Amino acid sequence: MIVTHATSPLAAASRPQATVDPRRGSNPPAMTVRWFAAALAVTAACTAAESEVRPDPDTIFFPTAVTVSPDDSVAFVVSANSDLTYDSGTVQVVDLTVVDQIVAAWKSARTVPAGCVADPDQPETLDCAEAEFLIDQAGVRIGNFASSVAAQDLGAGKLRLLVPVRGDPSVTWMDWDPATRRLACSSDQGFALCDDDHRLVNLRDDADLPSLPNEPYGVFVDSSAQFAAISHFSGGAVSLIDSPIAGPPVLADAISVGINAGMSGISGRVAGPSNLLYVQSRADDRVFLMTVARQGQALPYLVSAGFFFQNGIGGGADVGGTGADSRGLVFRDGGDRAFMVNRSPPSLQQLDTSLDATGVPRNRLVANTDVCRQATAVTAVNTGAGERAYVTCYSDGALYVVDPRAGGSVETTALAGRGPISIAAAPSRRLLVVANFLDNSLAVVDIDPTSRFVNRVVLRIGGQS
Amino acid sequence: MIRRRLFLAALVVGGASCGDTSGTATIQRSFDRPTDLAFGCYGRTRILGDNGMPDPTDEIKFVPQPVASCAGRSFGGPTLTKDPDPAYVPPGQEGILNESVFWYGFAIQPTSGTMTVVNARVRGPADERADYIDSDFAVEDGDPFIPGQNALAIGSTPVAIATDTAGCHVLAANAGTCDLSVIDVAAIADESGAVVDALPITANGMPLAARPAAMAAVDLATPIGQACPATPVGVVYIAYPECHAVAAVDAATGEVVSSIRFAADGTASLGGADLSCPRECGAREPLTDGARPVALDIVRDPRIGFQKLAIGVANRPALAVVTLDATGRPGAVTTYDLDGDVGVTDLAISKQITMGGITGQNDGGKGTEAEFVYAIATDNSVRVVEVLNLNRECETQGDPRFLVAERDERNLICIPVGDVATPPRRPGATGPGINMSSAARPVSVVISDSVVERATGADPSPSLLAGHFAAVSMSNGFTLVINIDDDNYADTYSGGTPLIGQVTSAAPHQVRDGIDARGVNNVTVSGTTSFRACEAARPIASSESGGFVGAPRIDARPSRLISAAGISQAKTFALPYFRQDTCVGDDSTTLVTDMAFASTVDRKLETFPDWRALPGEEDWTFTWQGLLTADRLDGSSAVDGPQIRTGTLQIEGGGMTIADGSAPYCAAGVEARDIVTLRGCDASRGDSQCGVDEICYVHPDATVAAGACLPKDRSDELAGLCRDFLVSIRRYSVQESFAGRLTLRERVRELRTTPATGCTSTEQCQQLADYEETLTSDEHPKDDTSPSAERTYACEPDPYRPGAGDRCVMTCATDSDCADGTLCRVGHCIEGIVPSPQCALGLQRYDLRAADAFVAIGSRTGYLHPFIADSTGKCVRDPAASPLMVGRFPLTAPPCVGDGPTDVSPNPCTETVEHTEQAPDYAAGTCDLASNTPLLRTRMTTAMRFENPLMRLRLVDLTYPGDATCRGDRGGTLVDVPVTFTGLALRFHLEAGFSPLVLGGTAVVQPANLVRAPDGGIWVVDAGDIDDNSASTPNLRGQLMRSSFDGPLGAIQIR
Repeated sequence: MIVTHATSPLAAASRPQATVDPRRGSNPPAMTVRWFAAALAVTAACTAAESEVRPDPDTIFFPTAVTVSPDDSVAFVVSANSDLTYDSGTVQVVDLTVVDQIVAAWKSARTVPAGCVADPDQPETLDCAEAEFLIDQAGVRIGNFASSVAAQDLGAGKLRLLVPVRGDPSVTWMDWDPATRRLACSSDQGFALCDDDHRLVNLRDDADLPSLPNEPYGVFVDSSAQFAAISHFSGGAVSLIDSPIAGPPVLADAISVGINAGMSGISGRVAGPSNLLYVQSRADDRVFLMTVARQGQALPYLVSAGFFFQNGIGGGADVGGTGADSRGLVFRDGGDRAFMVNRSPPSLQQLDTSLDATGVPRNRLVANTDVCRQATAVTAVNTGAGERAYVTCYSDGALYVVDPRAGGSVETTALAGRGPISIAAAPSRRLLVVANFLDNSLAVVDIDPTSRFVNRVVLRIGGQS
Repeated sequence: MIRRRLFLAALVVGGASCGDTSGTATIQRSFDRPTDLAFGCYGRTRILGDNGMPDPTDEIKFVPQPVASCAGRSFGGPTLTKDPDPAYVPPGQEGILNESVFWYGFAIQPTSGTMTVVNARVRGPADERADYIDSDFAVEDGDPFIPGQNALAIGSTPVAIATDTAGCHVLAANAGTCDLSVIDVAAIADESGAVVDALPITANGMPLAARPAAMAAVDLATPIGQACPATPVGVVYIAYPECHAVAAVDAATGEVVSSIRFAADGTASLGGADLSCPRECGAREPLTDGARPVALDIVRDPRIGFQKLAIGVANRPALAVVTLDATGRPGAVTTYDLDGDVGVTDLAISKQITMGGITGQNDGGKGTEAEFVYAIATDNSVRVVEVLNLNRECETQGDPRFLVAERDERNLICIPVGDVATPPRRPGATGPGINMSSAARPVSVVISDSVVERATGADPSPSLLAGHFAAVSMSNGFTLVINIDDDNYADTYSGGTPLIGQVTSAAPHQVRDGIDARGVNNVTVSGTTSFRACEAARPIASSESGGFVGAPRIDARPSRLISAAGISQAKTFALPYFRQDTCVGDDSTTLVTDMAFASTVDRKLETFPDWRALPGEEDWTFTWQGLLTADRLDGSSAVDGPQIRTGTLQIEGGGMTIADGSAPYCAAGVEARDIVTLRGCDASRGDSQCGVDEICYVHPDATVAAGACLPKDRSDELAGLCRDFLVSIRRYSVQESFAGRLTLRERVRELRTTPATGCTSTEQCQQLADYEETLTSDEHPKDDTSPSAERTYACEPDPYRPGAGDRCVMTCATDSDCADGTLCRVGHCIEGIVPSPQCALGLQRYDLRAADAFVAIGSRTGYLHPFIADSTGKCVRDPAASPLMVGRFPLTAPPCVGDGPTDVSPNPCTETVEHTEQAPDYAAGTCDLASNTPLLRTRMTTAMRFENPLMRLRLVDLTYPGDATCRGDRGGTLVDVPVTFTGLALRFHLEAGFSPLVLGGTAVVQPANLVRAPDGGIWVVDAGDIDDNSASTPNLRGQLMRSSFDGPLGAIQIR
């Protein structure tokens, strides 16, 4: 269910919010116009007070991104506030230990805790309200229309989250301390709005230099090399963030790959100074390669390293060999394999990205599988019964489970929810977390190959009316 | 068995035995991304009585029949034959016409758990139109109880489908519920409401509960004209990867009756009915590592009377062949090892083939008997194994240069892998399997036969297939054909018809060429007269048809890209060119290069020794000191890497290194002494080529140098500090190349007319410098008043330049003594200095060029070279590389050894050849033209022979002796003096290279499977989905495409 509040856009414009940029103002993407229209349609006659438009810390609303900490202890969920119900988006923290406990009890004894009900339509699914799972006072508020999230390992369990925010546009960052179990991006306490120091807006933090390109979309973090890279959903730009463990991140560089089409999925082959970034496009059939170069103590650069065509799969008729509208990629086997998901044609491709005798990746298609239309994300996990790739399908509300072996095949599909848009794995818990954009929920999927619920949604968090 | 009518079919998906709630809600459409297909036969049938003979009292009913009934009607006989009987009907079915008998196709769709049914009336030789057209096929409504045209819900994640022996049932293997769905064909065909039964698989009475990956049904001879039994008949084989076994299952009961087990190493053995597998449906059990059988194919050979099962193992380099007994149960099991660390994802097994023959289908005739398994391997090749007599994997990548002399076809049936007598592989081949030469991967393979003979005396044609062939669907949507035994072509190279009988076209296990009339040359014979066309660039038929015919060739004379700054247009005769012959024709007498259509057959054969290596079309460029990449600046190609790269300079200790984290240099083929030019920036484009907070700065003293990107706030400061760097052309020599970095040295400016074999004295250098000055003059030598060289040179060694001997290096006392863009350092003019680190902060744009060599690059082939990275990352020559993996040649080379096709080393090499050229026709004693028509002058000269995997070429006049009196008289006395200059390029466009025959002539989207129909049809099951909402491309949720080897090669597409 979509939660709607009577909200004045005029009030939204005048109240403090994380999306304000001193020069640019809030910059909602074009795709969100309909949300403005919806908001106008329900506009109340009065101006809401700040407290009235502040997001509910116990609610997930239009989640667009999820990631899991390296130790599988928590999941970070980004809510985009896509209908502008509130004055800001959020990053909230889900306690995966609680999730695990409730899932285990549900699977073994059908235990239904308070705040939960058994799903009458899907008997293996438990539906629960968010509050039980969200760590109290752990979240923070960010700008609207955040699109993705990635975690940088700072050591000792500490993490830095980087969140591209399309509304500002900015890359907002915050630190996670496992000791306090809090995200921090401001001197304020308690579900605070991330301050300007935690929003990367200008190159090198210099107001005289260009600002972050529009539509920050995907984010990849290399904890080892201490950088993050951002793809931009319009204009063919990729940005680089220098993110030293001991200091604040800085927007260091931005380059254009020379196309007008937007960039989408982004990932790195092997973490470290030799990392090779792969950047997909939403409209171009190329995958662009780049590295990060450092010279002395200077800020790093993005260095273009060419591209390759996705011409291993068909386009129908006499076209042959075109794959485009890419929406995610993930590397496995120490960078020797990559899964890439495309919308045109809908497919999951597996590439051999191992190095050849000359030292460059082969980028050779070794498997491909037809998947759903409008795929949104992909991840891959070794479940204990071999590796599986998981693709979220926005329009179908499905999760496709692909066995990549023997050329690739769809092993099964599962109903994940409405508008699944992001996915993250907690391998040690044999769980997946799927963010469902349209029903404001998280779907927790059992991937234990010995479970009778394998590849089924065993827990749905949020989305309850 | 649980029986339910289809109108409850939704429960089949939702109510599987595991309590499964998998999948999206069933959305029923005509197609929903099908992955497998089985066939049935249905129509009027005379139900024969107990005597098995037709009888007036026999009832004629519309019922399912064994597929052999429809196949016989299609073939015009019980089997495929080149002499079909138009009146043929199955015994006992006399009087029942084809028009009342129908093929049915059953396509499963795993994600929706459905099956779509298509049908078409049988067409045979007696029909007015034996070939199918699109409108012959109808998509059935699988569920008449639901409005609209629906697929039939049959089970949870069906992954394979097969028809039982009687033809009355189809069985689908369900991965979601680990059981079979049994579908009554009659109920579908008569639209009475389809019946789907769930049939559990059991072993020793216990549910097997293992997930199937593949299924194949045995084809037992079943009488036609029998009433349908209540249950399926026969045996189906089901592959269970996680059980490391293939089960033989009684189709009637679902009971395992036998099995083939796979050991951990992939070795297969016959097992019993007591199969036990980890549970994968319902309560799961842990899985174990082991060999994973995933692919099955069964062939029935009526000529020999056997039936065999082939099994592919996904994660072991092995496959198995099982001989089946008369009841379809397994007998002898043989395991075949494959070369390398590969697995098999799909396979097909052939009938027994009589190899050889050139006059049509030869089975049972004279020749060696053989039988093959074709296997899609995980290295993206198609592996071939002979499983009748030789019992080994076959080498399919033998270099035709070494096979052209082999005239015993028996030796080409299955060349052993790795044998000492086995010829070298084609350059670049990495394994013995058939290289599909595509960015796409092979997905599925079937083998079938065909009887389309060529007319007596006619040349064979790609579209006339007689013999046995494999079809391979590629992930890019195309289906290619592989010759197993083409009975219209000889199976060895044919000297009598050399252009037609190329090894690529003749030998077994080669991708079939799609270009027709390869033997057409430039001589047209009409009755007793012939006409030789020397001006023709290609066969006349090429231009008429719009497609290529004939042998590979260039489309026009090679062109030269010449800079006026390098040489006068009046003196371009002094530049290198390709060797030429005189062609005396009926249209004209002219010069032809070895690559031209009008060259002799022998020249063509020598020039293009392996047509398979040639792209259909390609531009080739030979550039002096050219870029090491074929990529275009506009980003529309990705062959070798970008023309202009970016990297960072590291400057310390007087040395300079350029680094690129993507480690591209060994892949790019950079060699020591190659040229790195720092390109700086183009100020006319503002600062767009510079980084954040940088400007494109052009030093005011720069004459020819480009701009350089400098920090915006320090440009004034650095203009002084970096002056020499900024005003130079910033060109450096590579000292050492590593995958991720190049160490650079300052490069001394040299005289381009330095003798290729080295200079002998400073005086000689100065004379050659004067000669260089005359090259840009239009004048005859006798009239030439070109000034002496302004610069001075010395003959000295230069360790940072390739080639033997000393070099003529430019000398100086000050910068003003040096050429523009060069600087005076220690008495020598250099093309760029090692600057202060502050001068080269940030990213540097640069290009990579070969030094003192022609770079040979194909627009699709790219730059070929033998370099790899060693354990330290240093770029070294691959000791295993073919001598043909070269992409450059200098001006000197060792003498050639032999001129046969296998004489490929040394390469490049020099030899003496006869060469004909145009020469000015001067009046005696003058430099005045006696005629405007040039003379044809033939002379013996030294040629550079250069050979790569595609072609062997000869270039002449890499050096020029100079002229004595008149331009082009070649009367000079210079020895080994080149007149080439950076950027000089020779170009040609190659056409009619190898273009594989595409079955159906079109592409699908994402083929999941190829299926061989009982009537010889080859069906592509396309799971691909198109949803682009454009007018030009239809939206699809999968399709079926039918074509065949023995019919028109166009495709029927059912969507």
